[in-house]
Amino acid sequence: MSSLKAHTDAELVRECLSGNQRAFETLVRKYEKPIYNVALRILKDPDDAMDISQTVFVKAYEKLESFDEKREFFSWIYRIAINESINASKKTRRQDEYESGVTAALPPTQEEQRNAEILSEEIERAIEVLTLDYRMVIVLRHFHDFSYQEIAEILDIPEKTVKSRLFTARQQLKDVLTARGVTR
Amino acid sequence: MIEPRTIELMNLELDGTATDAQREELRRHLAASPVAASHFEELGRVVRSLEARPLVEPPPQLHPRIMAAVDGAVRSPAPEAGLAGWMQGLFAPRRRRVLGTFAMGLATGVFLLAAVQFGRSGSWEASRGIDPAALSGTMSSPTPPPDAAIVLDAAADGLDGSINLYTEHGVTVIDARLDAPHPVDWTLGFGGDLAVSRIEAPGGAAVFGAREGEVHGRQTGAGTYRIVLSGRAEPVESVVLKVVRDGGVLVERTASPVRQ
Repeated sequence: MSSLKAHTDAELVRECLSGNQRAFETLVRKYEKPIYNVALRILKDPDDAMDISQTVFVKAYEKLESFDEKREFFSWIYRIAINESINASKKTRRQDEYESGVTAALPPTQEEQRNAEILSEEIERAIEVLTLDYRMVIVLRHFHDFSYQEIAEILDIPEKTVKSRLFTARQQLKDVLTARGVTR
Repeated sequence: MIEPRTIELMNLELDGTATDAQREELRRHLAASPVAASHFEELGRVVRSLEARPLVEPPPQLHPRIMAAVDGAVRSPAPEAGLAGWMQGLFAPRRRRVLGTFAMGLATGVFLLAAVQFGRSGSWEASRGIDPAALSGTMSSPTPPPDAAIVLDAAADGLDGSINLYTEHGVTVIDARLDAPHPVDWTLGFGGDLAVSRIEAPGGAAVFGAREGEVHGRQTGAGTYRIVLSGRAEPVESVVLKVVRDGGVLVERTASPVRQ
């Protein structure tokens, strides 16, 4: 048998459905890192991200027969990951809401710290004050490089909503960073 | 104040989806408005910084955890059906960060009493003490033969028990039983880069916990434990049980492969 790594996702799904569990492990190896990162960005907790990643792949395995080959596997499994992360976030009630007052309460950053490294660290913190809707589009667009259309499919929302949320999310990020003195 | 149309054009450009006409329109907007130009420059910095951030590497125990859970889902619809089913339950996601003791499973008589895990800094902490009065019930036994074992027959001071090691999907599960007629302290050490993912103590222990490279406990009477390590215990001889009473070593034995 040829190396499973050379197979497409759809081929791996078919292999798996025919009883080859190693095919599913190949899919796990391919997607465990991005799925973990999606969960980590949404939940902001490495332990929770581990739990969600595990749940995502178990659910994907259990529901593999319902996977529609006309769709992309990555959008299907990302969608499971997003839904599981949102559910977990609601359960733990640790979702921070973006409010204009939040930015004002944050301590200012000194002028001399304005460099790329600081900006990067500040952005990481700024993402956490976005609401889930905005955080998800930022994560999918900028950390996972998905197109508007792909994000629309993953989140099951219209493409124009993706654009709208993305534009607003970036603006909010910039507002937070401006309030912290990181950007003008 | 920047026009909404200008904001839209900026975002399309940043996403690389602007048409030539839109790009030209944006250029005109920016040329006419220094405020908009500055805003666009800053927005660009934010986007470039976002995209420069690499994905975080997941912890090494994630893959074996996923595969063990998937395997459990495949092989055992009934949670109590042997090792696979037990592992399915064992690897069920934690809903809370666990550093302490907990009890559950009245229906099956199985009590899960403690867990340990890595902390954020990479260090980990041991569980707290357990009230023996809270312990009761029975536990299902794994049926497959172990990969390695430590046998305590004819040990000193009436000590009895066994330590069985199972390896599946790169995760080591240690199923331990220890029966001590007198109070003893025991330590189960393991080598390499292994970390404790979880400990279960269905019954008998007074206190148990973990430090780097070992789990330990203090007990009188019979105690059973299930310990999950994040990787393979290689060689199996790196797993060592040491039992001490009043400062004196009663027994110190290494695991041996089980011939099958």
